[in-house]
Amino acid sequence: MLADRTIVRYCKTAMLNLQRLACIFAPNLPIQVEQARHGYAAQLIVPDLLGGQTVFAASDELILAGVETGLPLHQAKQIAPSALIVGPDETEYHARHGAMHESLKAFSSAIETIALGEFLLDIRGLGAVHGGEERLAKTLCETVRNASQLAARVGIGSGKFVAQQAARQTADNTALVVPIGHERRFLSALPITILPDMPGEMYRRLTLLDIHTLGDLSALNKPAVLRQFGSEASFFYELARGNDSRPLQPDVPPLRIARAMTLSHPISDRRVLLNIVNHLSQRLSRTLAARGYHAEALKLTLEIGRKTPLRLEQGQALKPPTADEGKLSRLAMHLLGQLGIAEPVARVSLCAYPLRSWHHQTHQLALVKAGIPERRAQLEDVIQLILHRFGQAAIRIASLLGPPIPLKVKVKVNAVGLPSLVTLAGQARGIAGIDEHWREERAWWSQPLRRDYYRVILTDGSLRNLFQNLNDGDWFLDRAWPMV
Amino acid sequence: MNVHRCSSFTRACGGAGVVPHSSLMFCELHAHSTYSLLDGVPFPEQLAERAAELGLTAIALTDHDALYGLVPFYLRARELGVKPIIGVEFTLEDESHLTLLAENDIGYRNLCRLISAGRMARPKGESRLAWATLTQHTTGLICLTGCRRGPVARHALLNDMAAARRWLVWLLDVFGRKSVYMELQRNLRRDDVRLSRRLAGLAHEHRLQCVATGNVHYLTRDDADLQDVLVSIRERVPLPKIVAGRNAVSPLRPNHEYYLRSPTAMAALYPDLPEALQNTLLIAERCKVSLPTGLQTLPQFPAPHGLAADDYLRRLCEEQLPRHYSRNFKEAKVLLEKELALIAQLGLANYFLVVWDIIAFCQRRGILCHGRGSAANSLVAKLLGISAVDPIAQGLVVERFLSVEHGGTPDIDLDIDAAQRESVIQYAYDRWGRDHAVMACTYITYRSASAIRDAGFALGFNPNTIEEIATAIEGERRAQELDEDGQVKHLDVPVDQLTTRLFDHPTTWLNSTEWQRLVTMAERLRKRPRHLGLHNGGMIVTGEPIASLMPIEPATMPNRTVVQFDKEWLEELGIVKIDLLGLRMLSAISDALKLVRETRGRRIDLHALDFRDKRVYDQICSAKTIGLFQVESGAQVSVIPHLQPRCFQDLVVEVSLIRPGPLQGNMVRPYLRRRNGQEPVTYPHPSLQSALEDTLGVIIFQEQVIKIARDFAGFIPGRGELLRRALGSKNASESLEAFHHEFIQGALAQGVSQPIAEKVWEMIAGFAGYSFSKAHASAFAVIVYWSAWLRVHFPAEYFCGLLRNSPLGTYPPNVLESEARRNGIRFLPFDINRSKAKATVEGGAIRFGLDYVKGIGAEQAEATIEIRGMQPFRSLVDFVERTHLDRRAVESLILAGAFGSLGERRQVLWDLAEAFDLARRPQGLPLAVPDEHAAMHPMTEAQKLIITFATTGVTAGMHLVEVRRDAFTRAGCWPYHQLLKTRLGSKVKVGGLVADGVRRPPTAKGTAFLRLDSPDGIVDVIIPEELYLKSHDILRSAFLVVEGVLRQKQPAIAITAKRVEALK
Repeated sequence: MLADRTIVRYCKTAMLNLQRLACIFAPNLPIQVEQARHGYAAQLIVPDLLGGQTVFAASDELILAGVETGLPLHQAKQIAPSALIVGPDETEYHARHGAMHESLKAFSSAIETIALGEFLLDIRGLGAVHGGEERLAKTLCETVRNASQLAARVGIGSGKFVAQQAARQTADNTALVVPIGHERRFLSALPITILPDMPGEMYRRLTLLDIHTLGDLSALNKPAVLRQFGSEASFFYELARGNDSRPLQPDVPPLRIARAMTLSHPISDRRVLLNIVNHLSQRLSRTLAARGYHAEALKLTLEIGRKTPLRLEQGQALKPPTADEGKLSRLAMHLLGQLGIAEPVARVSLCAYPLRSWHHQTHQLALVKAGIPERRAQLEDVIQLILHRFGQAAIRIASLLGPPIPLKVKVKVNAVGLPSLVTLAGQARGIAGIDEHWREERAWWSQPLRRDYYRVILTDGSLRNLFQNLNDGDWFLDRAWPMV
Repeated sequence: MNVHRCSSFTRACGGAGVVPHSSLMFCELHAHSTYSLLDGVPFPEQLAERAAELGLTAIALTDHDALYGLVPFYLRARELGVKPIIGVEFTLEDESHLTLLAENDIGYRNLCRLISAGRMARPKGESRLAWATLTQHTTGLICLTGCRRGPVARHALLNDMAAARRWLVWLLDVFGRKSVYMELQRNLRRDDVRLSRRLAGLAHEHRLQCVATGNVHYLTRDDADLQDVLVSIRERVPLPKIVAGRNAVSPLRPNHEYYLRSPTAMAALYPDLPEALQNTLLIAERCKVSLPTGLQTLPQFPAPHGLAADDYLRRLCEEQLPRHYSRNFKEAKVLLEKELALIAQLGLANYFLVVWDIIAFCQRRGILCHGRGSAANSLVAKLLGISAVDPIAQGLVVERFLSVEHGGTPDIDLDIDAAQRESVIQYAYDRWGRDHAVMACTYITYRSASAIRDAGFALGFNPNTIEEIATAIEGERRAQELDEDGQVKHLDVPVDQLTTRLFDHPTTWLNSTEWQRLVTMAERLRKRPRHLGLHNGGMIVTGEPIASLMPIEPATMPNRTVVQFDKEWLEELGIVKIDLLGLRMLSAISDALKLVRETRGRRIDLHALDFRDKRVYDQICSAKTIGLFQVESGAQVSVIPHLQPRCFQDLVVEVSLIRPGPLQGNMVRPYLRRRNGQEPVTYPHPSLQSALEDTLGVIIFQEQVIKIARDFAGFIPGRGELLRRALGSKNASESLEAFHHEFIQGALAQGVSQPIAEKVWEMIAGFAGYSFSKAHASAFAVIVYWSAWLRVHFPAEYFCGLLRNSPLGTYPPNVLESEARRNGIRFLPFDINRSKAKATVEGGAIRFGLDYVKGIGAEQAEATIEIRGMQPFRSLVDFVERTHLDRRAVESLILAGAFGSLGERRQVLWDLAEAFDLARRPQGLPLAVPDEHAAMHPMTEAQKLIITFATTGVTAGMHLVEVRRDAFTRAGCWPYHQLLKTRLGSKVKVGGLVADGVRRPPTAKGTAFLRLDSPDGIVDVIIPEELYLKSHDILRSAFLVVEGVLRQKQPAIAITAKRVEALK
């Protein structure tokens, strides 16, 4: 019995030690995409996908200048006032990322998405097929580049850390293979700062002890390191030696989830199609909810004709991303309404773009940035724990309901500038008097809000809150009160 | 539906609308100034000025729980013909607000008592007055029921009229029906009108009058943004985050309507309640309080045998007179009689006796104490031991200190050994009682850097960016602030000017709206008070309890209370104070004397020195002045070759010469030329000879202005003193204008021609700016001599004393260390078993104390030494076990080399983890297994030096420049000795460590100065403005290489820079 356990443990260890991973990395994907689109710009900023108030990506030059992901956009502008700021093209980034992912599937199904444009691939046994790991790496690089039209880097090594570092150490469109047994030597010259999430205190003390490279760290004996820095140092010590036992976690969130229905008899009746679209959106919503994703966009595809089907497509982003059945359904039906259907429809397909891990990170970053700085590390730890324990699906984005949007109305004012007549739902209503007048002036430092509010009594005795926007003079209905 | 209630609104907020018949029937009774501390924008004077502009006949200042702004408000309002009303908006224990106005002098005293009571036993800056306390001090006060947070209004706002009614009845009971008014406010805030109608109804029900107030927080709408910024700073939440939803409570006011309104604008807001406006005038009519000016009642000094204070003072002086003036007794006796008569006339005998009592305490305790300032003009001060300066020998005039004409209060400043100052202050508290003794306050105002920091915070800028800019501004400002003597002058430069200088090539960022908003906001914040501080040492003692004269509050320091008026305003009120100033140089001297006693067994009486030691003057003439009091800066050193001080009088001139007054008046060069016989000594008029003879025909001392005014223009001495004060005032040119005509006329009456009179007037006007009185300079010269004498005769002890009390003077400890090393003094390394808490002298060498090590405070250092006293530390584990110091502190000690006897620094640092483990482990458990050890790379000597410097601020070994010696050589720097052999005017290249930062005094017209320290000596570098602007960033480097022209070799090397670069 004891022997069996030992064998099992040995096998597990052996498997982990033998894992060969390729890291395929398209550096700074959004910037690459935007630079290709807008012509090369050394100073380029892409704001985040939600609200555009923080930096999502920045060109290398700006990163060196201190513009980092998550930095409030106005501060980034202070650092780089002449930077070109382009709106994020979520669909395109998805498409490139998806293309990379698709192209990798030809090599292996065991793919882990690390971040936008970064993947880890299990390549055990593939080296022999492709004439060695060097050639495999080159092939991977070429394939990904062709598929995504992006500069890519490939690193191969035993374990995630070595593979990722190999990809980072190499140049664009090249590959670097770290042979088995050479991990420690490869890492030895690299600075300790690359160790992921190393506590600041450990870094400070290592520096004082003149330990600046992974080679310096790995040269120490492990018990001594553990005694010096505690048990948590074990992970960093092993990484420095090139031992990374973290298993590959094949992609959990797919890039898209689709639900389709092929009709035995093509249908052109819009009401039936509405029902079908509604049904598909419900199924899609359930799937998303069950797997813990939010869709960022929805695409409706209709196939017309049987033998040479013609495809009609319409898509739209969902802001904020959601799995809500009602919202998906409304959007799907709205998309159907936008498509002109000349012939009967043979197949209906509804495709949602689920939340990606990189997208999670953007939200989390925004979340922690908004919080108290001291608690950021704590919050990040908690998020990491949740991710580790329950997977990415466990993290959801909360949203709050805002107040109703004021309704623009026409108001006639009297000689002293007070409202005397208001047009509501196309009907002019006389104002008998003003119950109260107050003024609100806020947010002069960002988007100044200046409003004069009037609680008016209409001739029928009912009350309304009106306000005039003092910036442009427009009038709005803010609130209706029951009859007095 | 009640239609009538809603028909009369106008857009009153803008002042537009129907002007009712009641215009001009209003005065503001609820206004906050910037002294509501982060809850009000206008300066008190501005409130009065704006009130006058708007035609208000009266205005009340009602800051939160304080009278900080009272004096300037009162004086300015009176000046403008606006009636000042003294009031306070109190915060009660349940956080309600209540507006109280002083109706008469009793009311004013009650306000003071209530403020003091509300602040006692509360954290600094906070006030919560107990309702019960309020009931005890209501006489002479008019109560307005308060803003929305008032006890009545806040219940009425919730429509809890029963509770509102209960509170109103309570206020009526406490204050009396005639003294309570219902306060109404309409600032276009939601529910304002509804609330004011409810309150008016309640008032009507109780037959009370209503008053309308504006709850003013700024003068005009334009300042509302600054008010928001102040609130954001107060709340410590940036504006972008402070915004609450529509229904949530936000500390920001909802609109920009809390400004000072004209009667017309107010009338438009209260068309339905005109009597609420008229009642404000009735209240203003009732309030008749005069600011309590005049001398406060001093405590009666308990003189022996029931002697009156004047008699006892006379007795003390007469006892001392023969001892000090055996030769010129008669002359001294005449002067003494004159002074005693003056003191009696001014009623200051008790004041002198109180100060004498403090001096006597210091003498009993052996605390080094020395009078400075104008008190040294007084023979009485000399006889009482307050001053060490002989006014007769120095030709000083007592009118500079005391005169009936200027009526001001004398100010006695005592320099006290800084380490002992607290014991002196506590003595004064105990001697006169805590109800009768209090410290003066100071208002900590925004300066450029702090304004940028707080404005940046409020506007949501990246803290790192803001900190970087603020630090750069501080550096820039510091360079501006130091005068030629290296003394910090509290000048401040507008933020926009500083930032323009900082960023020599304006970027688009600087032109961005956000940046401009930040700079503008910071500039508007500048000079506004942020919080209350404690004056350096100003102590007030009074006969009657202070809390009934002036509001007081607890200071942050334990066992201290502070009055709500600062030095300037106390003077306006005629309150005399005694400045108990801590002077670190006296601490250093005191420590040096102690060390001499301990190491050499010699007791030295500094008072017995005769100021004639040739070696002392030789040392100063050779420019070896680093570490000396007042004469160590580059500017002072530059004067030494020309001045060549050889006697005490020369020292008096030396410390006075490099001051803005003599510099701006172009007195320095003429004096030096005349002294060296390069130009004849002349006087514009023979009558000036007596005043200017001692200083070769130029004005150097403040007293000379008084003498000139007397001899040349026939001014009586007191009037001359007023002229002297005008010269030193902030707006000297305006203040002087008042004297110009009088001076010229006076001179003409003495038979002087108009052109000569004008010439002399120009000479005097040019002297405007900061300058020393001869008395003050003499007092300082005494300390200069003492410090120089100790440096000559006991250099190790003296430098040790300096290092014990560092930072002091111009230079950081590493420069003092460097200077000591050049004087042949060795330094011993930090050692856990040898170092003491403070620096010590061991066999002629200095060993730094553990207090120099970062992370070890003075207390921890003392405790460690006490523990070591039982038994030396045997090992790192032993040390950790016995001291219980935290890991960082022990780590700092290791890095400083204090464990050098136990092993190599890195190895000991590695062993630290084990030491902490073992120290925590129960006895008897096994120690670490061998494979848990690791061999560390030993530190190189250079690394040791740098890490010691980083951990302690000193090297306790070689000079830092030694570490970079090769780099300096590669950069082509000349050795110091080679510079001495080089011809003046030659092109040279020097390098070193920047000693005391770059200084750019305003009087230097753009030129900057720095001193480069190296193991062999110091080089003074003059940087022309053009080069300074070009090399601004480079000049922030620690190690510099300067290429330039050799200007001076003796006694100190000086070069004019042509090129500056950071050492690569």
